[in-house]
Amino acid sequence: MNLFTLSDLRFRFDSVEVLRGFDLQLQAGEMTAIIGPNGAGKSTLMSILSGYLEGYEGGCSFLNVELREWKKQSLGQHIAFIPQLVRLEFPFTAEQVVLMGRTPHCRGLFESPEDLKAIRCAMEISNTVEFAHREFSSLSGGERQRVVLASALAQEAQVLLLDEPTTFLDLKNQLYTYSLLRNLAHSGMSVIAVTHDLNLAAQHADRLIVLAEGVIAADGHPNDVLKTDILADIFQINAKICKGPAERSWVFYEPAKPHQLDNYLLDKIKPQ
Amino acid sequence: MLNRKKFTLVILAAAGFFLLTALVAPLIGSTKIDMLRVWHGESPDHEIFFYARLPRVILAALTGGALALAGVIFQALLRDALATPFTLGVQSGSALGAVLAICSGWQTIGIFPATWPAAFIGAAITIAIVISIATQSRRMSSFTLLLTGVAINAMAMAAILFLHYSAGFAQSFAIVRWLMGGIESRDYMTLTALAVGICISFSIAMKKSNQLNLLSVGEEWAATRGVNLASLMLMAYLLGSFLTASVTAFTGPIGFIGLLIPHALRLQLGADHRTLIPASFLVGGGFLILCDTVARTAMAPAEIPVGVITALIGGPFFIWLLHSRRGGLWM
Repeated sequence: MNLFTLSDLRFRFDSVEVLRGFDLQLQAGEMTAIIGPNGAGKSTLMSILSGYLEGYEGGCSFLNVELREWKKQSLGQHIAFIPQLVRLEFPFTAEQVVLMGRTPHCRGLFESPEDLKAIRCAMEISNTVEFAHREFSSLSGGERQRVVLASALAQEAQVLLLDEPTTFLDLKNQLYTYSLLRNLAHSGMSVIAVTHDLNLAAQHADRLIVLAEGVIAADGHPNDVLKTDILADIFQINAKICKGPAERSWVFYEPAKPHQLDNYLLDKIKPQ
Repeated sequence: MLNRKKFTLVILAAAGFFLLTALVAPLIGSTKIDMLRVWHGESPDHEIFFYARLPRVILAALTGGALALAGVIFQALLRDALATPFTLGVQSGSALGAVLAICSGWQTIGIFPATWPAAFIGAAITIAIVISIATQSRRMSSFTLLLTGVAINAMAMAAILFLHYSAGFAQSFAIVRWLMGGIESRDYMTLTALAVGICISFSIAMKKSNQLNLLSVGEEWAATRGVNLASLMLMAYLLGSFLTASVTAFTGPIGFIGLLIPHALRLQLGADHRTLIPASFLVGGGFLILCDTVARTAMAPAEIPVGVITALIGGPFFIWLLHSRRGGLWM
């Protein structure tokens, strides 16, 4: 089933065209990873899909209704979004942050038994129960990221959008989070994650989309997309592709060569 | 999570503090009064109680509650712990209106003393200007609101300084007195109208308290969790501005409450607006009653501007609270 249908999608910040017109369809029950260099338009695309950025041109519909036409509360019941970074000015506890995910479902001042059940389940699955009552600001980057994931899970949405969900996580939690996302996708949810970790994406995603300079440069199964020429073109890196677990592609990066570094600038920042 | 038992206890404690100050304050003053004589309508106790002290206590309660509530709303809207009811220019718009009325020599506008409607109109014009500028860009953002408000604030303050500079001696004194702020007795009809407006604003804020939690985290966070961002931000700005403008018109600017009360309560209760809004409203009201009682009795028969007392009592108390919580990360 088609969830999102994008047609000639464009977006500009003032005079800069960040998304330059492309078509895309995203299905239910699929884990999609979006990769691409800095400034490719990945976060902008996620913000549009989440319903936050509305000033786009072209079409972007969810369940055949243009995203702009959706009522916000209804959209919040269908789509959950995890931004790159969450910083809190005020002393909310981890549990209160998770609870915020229930806002699209809340009717009164107090939480319903369904809300409590969803919060408990989301915190257990994201291993955040132990610091439920700690201030969010006192948590480490990785712990905060897990709390934010729990908040999105508590939303019980059909679509989960994640913008670099594992940036601050240790290896164990990175693997756990991606396995969890893949399982959620295979149980019917649609998961769309932006990441810079090509190997995590290759091992877990059903579909890999490469975004470069505001357009889709490649789209397909990770084994078909991760090719040395694509990586050289898009990311300007030299890499070898081998087979990893489950016959999926595994990328070995070569370090940047000395001629790629500007020796003049390196001299300037050397300690005197 | 909002525990019903904890919520009830907090509200009962805040209401207890409010009621205690509201019931005791009218009994205290430079002249001793006998409540039996008040009850039997005997002069002058009856007049002192019903026409001098009680209306003043009611105005202090409404003003304190409204300013503390406006502080909570603006801090959530701007995600700025230092935001106050005066950050977005409403207070300086009010002040400019009142100062213009004083400089024009108007005594009354209609049936009201001239400074009331003039201050209210000044605030309304400021709100209209800020909204029309802030909504011109592609989307209304806290940042645009803040910058527009600060710019309007600076312009209004410059106009006030110019008017003050060119005013005569008597007008200059009246301007300074108004800008110091203060609680005075008002008629019950005016107080009733004010109470209705403030209570309606309070119930709207309570209804939106869940959404204010989200807004205080971030605009993207709120918009992707079922909140209609544009309408919530507009509502929060109008609500905070109305609360500030409606009381400032009667009392002049009274500082510190909008900053002190929400922060002191956040330190004790946490940031959940479902508790913070009613607690701030009640404690803010009680606190200003207390300060006004000190202002009118400490140097009786002379009165100290209440803004001086709010800072003198509130400042040390706030520092003590911060000190007692210094192990915490917040602040």
